[in-house]
Amino acid sequence: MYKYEMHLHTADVSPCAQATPEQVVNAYCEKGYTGVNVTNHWSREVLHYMNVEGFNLQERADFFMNGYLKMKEAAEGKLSVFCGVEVQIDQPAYCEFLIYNIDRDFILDLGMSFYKLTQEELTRIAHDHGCLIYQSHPFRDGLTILPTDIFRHVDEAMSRDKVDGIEAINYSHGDHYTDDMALNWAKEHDLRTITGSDYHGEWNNPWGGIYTEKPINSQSELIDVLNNKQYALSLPDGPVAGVSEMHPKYRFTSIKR
Amino acid sequence: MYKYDLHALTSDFTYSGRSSISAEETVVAHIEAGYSGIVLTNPWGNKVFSDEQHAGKSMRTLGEEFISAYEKLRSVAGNDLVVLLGAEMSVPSASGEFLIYGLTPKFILEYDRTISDAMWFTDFITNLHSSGDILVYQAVPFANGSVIIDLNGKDKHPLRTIDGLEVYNHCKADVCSNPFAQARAEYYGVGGISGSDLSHSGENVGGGIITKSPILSNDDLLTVLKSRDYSICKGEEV
Repeated sequence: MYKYEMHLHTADVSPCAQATPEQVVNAYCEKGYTGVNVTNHWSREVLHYMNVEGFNLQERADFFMNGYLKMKEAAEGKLSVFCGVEVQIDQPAYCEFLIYNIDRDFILDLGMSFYKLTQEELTRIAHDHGCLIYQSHPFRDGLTILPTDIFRHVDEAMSRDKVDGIEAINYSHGDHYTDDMALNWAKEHDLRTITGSDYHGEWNNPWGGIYTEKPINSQSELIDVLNNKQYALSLPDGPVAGVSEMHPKYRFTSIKR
Repeated sequence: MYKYDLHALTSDFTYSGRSSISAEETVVAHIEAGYSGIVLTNPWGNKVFSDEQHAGKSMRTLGEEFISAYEKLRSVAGNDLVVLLGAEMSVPSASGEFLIYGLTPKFILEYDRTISDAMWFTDFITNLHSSGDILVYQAVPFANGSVIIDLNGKDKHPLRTIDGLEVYNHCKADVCSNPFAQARAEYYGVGGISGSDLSHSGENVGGGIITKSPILSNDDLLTVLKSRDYSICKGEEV
């Protein structure tokens, strides 16, 4: 099995993170990961706290991509590194989305006021760039329930307008019930899921992500794996052995009918 | 046994599209379904204040109309149904609605939206709890657009968080994921209430709470809710 982190922040871009690329490499190699998706924040907070508000669009894109490039350099020969992002938008409500297979052009296309994009606009931009988009930690306190019809169902082909799934487990929460709720929500509404560590620093324990039976050698292969459901979720008990499709094993079953 | 609907509306005070059912229809529907009483939870808050049909009205006028709708329902119900005053409140600081019990006309008539609208949500809840014997439950907590409330008590202050969740909403059962609300309320040990959310003609009445003793006043209602000495009615069982 090969394991890939789906939610990771580094201090070069994310103001809330303390993880350096070197720390990330050490932590994830120790835990047996094959690769990571660097999904640094792209939000008002980044612009403000990382002092890039005054940057023009090209400079902002360079700033963001620098985080990925530094990670890639530090991980050379040790971990595969893929470029993703966690974008925060205000419409329909404050929410965040993990987007995979991004590049500099994607950041440019988001524009200067990316946080004003609607969820539909963000989803279309992501899909037009060949990315996939998942809602981060959908049941975190303070977030708003999004309509389930904006999400793609498990067996549904990719749609330009639909969010590809949710992050059912976010291991930085420490709240198993919230994750349980998200897993059950996904089951109830037939949604696709991923999990992630939401790694920010040494206080986080790398555990989240996906398992695959074959190594992922490129970002486009990652997209194929996710689209074709050729992965298992990294759950609290570990991988679901032998599972090649997305049939999450639920650790908690608190939702009674 | 006695059955009470904790979430019902009439068209006498509403905002565009929220409710169209008359007081008379509401009373008939509840009597036929075997209810002992209703808590009228007409909307109150920014969804009302920003609605076109209320444009230009003073807060006093709005408050008087809100109370008038309650008094009308009481009058129509006569001795056939107990009618208590509640509200389905909306505030800018948290999307969704909140069911308020223990409400008094004085609270509504003295409501200062400039203060409430400017508050953080936890401060708003604290303010509600501090203003009288009031309980606050999140309506349809798993419906589209409902905010996820911190029930973990991170602030460790009982006034700063809501008292529970609406764990069964009858009229919106197909879109509000009632079982999730119930599971969440049970997990965090908060109260769960139920109601029909009867808002339009043709909807069926269902849901509510079932008690061993009659509820005749706000005090009775709050005592029952705080003691959790009731069972949840799901569906249309009598």
